[in-house]
Amino acid sequence: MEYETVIGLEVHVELLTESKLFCSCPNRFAADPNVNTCPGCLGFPGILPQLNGAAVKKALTAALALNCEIALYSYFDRKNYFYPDLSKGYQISQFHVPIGSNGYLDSEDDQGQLKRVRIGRVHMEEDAGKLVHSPAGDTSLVDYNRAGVPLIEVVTEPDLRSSGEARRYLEKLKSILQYARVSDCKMEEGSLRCDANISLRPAGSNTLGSKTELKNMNSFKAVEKSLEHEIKRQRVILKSGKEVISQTLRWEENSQETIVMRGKLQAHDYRCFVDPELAPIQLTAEEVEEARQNLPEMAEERAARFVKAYNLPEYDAAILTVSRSLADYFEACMADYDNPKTAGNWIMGELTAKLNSAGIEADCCSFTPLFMTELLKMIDEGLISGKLAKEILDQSFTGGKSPRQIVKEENLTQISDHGELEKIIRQMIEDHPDSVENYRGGKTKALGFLVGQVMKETKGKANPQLVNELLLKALK
Amino acid sequence: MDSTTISAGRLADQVNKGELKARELIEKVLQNAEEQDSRLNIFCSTAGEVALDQASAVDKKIEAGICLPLAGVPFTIKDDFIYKALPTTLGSLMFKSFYPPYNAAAVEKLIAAGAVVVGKTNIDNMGVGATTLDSPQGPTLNPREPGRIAGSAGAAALAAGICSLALESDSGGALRQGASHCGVFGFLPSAGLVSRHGLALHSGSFCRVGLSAAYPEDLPVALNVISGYDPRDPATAACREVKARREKLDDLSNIAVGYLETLPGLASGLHRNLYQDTLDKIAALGVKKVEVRLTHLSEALRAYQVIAAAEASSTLLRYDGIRYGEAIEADNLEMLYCKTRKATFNGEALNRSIFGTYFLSKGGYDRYYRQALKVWTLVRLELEAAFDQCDLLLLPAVRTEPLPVSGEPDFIDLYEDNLYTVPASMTGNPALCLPAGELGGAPVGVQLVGRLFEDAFLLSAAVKIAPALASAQQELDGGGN
Amino acid sequence: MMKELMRAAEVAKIALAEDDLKRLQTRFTAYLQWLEPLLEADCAACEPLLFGHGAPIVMREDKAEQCEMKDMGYSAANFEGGYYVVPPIIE
Repeated sequence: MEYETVIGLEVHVELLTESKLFCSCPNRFAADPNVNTCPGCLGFPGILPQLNGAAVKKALTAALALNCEIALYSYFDRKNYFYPDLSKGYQISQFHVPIGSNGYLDSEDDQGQLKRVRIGRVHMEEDAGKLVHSPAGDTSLVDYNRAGVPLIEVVTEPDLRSSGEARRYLEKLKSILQYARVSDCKMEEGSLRCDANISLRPAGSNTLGSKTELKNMNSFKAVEKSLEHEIKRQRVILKSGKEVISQTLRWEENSQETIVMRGKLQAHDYRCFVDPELAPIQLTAEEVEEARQNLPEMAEERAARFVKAYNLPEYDAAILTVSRSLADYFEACMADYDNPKTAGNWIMGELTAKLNSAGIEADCCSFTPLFMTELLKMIDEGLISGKLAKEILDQSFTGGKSPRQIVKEENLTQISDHGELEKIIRQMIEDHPDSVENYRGGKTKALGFLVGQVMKETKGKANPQLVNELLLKALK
Repeated sequence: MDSTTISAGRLADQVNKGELKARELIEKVLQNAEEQDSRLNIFCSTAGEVALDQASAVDKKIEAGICLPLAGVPFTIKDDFIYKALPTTLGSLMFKSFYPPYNAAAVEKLIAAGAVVVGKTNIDNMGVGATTLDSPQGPTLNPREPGRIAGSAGAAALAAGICSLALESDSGGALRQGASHCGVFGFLPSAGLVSRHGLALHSGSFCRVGLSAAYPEDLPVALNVISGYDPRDPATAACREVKARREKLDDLSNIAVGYLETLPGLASGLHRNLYQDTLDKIAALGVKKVEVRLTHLSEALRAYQVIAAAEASSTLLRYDGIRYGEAIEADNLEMLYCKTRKATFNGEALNRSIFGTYFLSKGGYDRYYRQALKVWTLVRLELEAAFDQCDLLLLPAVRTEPLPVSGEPDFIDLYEDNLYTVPASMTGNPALCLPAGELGGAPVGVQLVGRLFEDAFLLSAAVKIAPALASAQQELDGGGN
Repeated sequence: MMKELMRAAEVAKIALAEDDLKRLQTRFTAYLQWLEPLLEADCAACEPLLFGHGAPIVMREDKAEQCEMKDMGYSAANFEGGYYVVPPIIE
């Protein structure tokens, strides 16, 4: 019996606003607990929620970028339950009327074919605080800095059919929301969180099987792995003729397995009802149309523009625009340097490798676009070799000094002075008569050896093309 | 000098002119307050030094040539409002030393206008109720009939001559009923006119800020002080929309008052007669009488109860002992919640927390809550239709005498007391309770309801009508007017 | 009805003793009976009123303001090291 995998994803995304959703507390990371709080987000009596207009704009933008139908009239509900990180005893959310519905996102299936993933809803809600366990373990500690941060929840229909599709959906969603300037979507920092619902069913069946919910994945890779793990687990159960129990599982990154979550997730009766303290949102068709017209350029558009404006191959443009921060980096370089192909190569190659191993994005690294263009210009001027440039980039990336500074301090300038090089070449020819003879005898490899010797003698600083040229001349 | 032998307006006048020092006045007020409080159980806390400092500050401003609309006027604050200098008990022992560090908007504005806080007045648990029988310190006694409750401790303070203004709240009728029981003027402004910032409300749809006074002419001045757009209560954006509706009323003969021919639920024929007499007195002033029909009063009452309970059951969830309130010993989280909340709530607040939970649950939502929301539409339509035919609507304020202090009333009877006050609560219309006479030795008031945002009109009509109504007015007039 | 009541008390997290429950049950029964006219009201043609006062929401400018929070913690009975302290939670 062949089983088909059915996956739906619920993604929570923190919005890039200055202040929280219903109060003016700063919406930003704080090292100390409970410093970005006020009576409102702490649930004190007597404080009414004050809706942040920018959050609504960003939610609208997200919904439009995800091709949703927009609810011109929507409102907030209360989702009531007890948990220490929920300061009012209820979460203000949009249960009955989400701001966006019936949308979609185009991704790829496992065969590389276009896969349209339907998005059931995009709605606004406030975040809860954070729970930490005390070092002694005898109490729990609550930090409300995050309580009240504006979120949108994006819920897919159960359209995903593999763990790979799930991962690609998330990557595409991140790209779209980053380009739309809705969120920075950094899963490792918590500004994007994902829960997965997964079930298996006999291939060809139309009914949904019993599903489990997966939580606590902290990267797109973890989502993929946890889903793979769960698919295997469910398949084993179903093949043995048993039934999959519908429950919530927690992914443990360290042990790469799932464990059943206790307590919190018994069937809640959230008793959702309209929040009487918040009047309804009434958008006009004009406002929505304006937001649609003003949607920031998405990845595909930007890639197409790169092809046209910078004469880049489609492949390069696609890679450079996967993340908005990388695309921004490239364009910043273009403001100061006029060889897009070279810049693009270095960004796609060396820079991306460094960013990946450091686990950061292009907008956070200290090797700025100006450093990059500085480096590339030095190569063009013949001051340094390509190989040397890679080392300088490495040093600058970690140490923070500019390339010119590094070259200066370590006296790394490429030797391009003919006189100096010819002197060294003559020396090498004298020192290695056998190689000279071999070369003259037709063994072209001997040339490479001699070039290497010159490079060694100059500690890698000689301009290798020039050495080649001059050596050939000297050996005639 | 007894602060209530003259109106707040005249008092402020004297202070502004330098004829009276606010500090001297307040010293006497505080002394009076203490004496009366031991008898009538009005206060949860009194302002003491804080009040004297405020009064001195007022005197300084006057000396500097500044004029304040409520200079030196003593006022009380119902204890579901937050005022950082005094504890906000919310009618619960769990908050006996709760000092949230902010001030309610209405309190800020009254103090800025020169008024001086006398103290925080007694309330039912969590401010849910109209009797103070659910208060941890017991009920406030009626100064006019001490064997009976006052209903509102602020109204009692006014009737006892302790203060000139009482800052009050009302969701189902507490403000208006208390005013009726004590023979003072109780005013509930239009929804959206006065900022609720700092009012520990239990129902977002119905809880509103209001004022009571011994003299109706004090209400427009005080309303002016506390109303207006406050971004901390987004509903007050309505103030910016409100066109100048009909302002003051010059001639009573141009208006019509709506009345009910049938009055269900009144406790006795005497109440019915009082209503009829009041109507006749108003008509005698030249006002036209128009019969209107409100056929859904009893459904409205029940819908109000269900919605109010549902909202309270949610709004009161924040009281979990974690961020504020007295400490409770608990080994685990479940115990912390359950013991804390058991210690926090009693009486009607407890009823609503539990019954409201049921009304919102899967089993109760469609049958009760959604049905109540539909009836709410009916109520609104019905009241709108009534106001097509009249400018003011005359309704009873209470259906029975104030309850005996030692009584243990049936909770259903307490719900029934709201029969004539919930319609205005549900539609946001302004409503004023005026003294109309006495029954069984205790004052009885009647209710005038106005159109939305026609508060100035309603108040000016009341100023003209009040003298014709009350013998109660004469009692308060004492010596020098 | 007792079952619904107990469930509501559980959800509302209010510890009720045996006699509290009995008292509430009597009340509850009387209450639901009193509510009958509500259920019988003829409003099939009516839409539920969701907001008492129809005006749409007025939104706030997105400006961050830091609140002086050091005063907030002290009303909590358990506030240590900048955190609100609760009994341990097992995830």
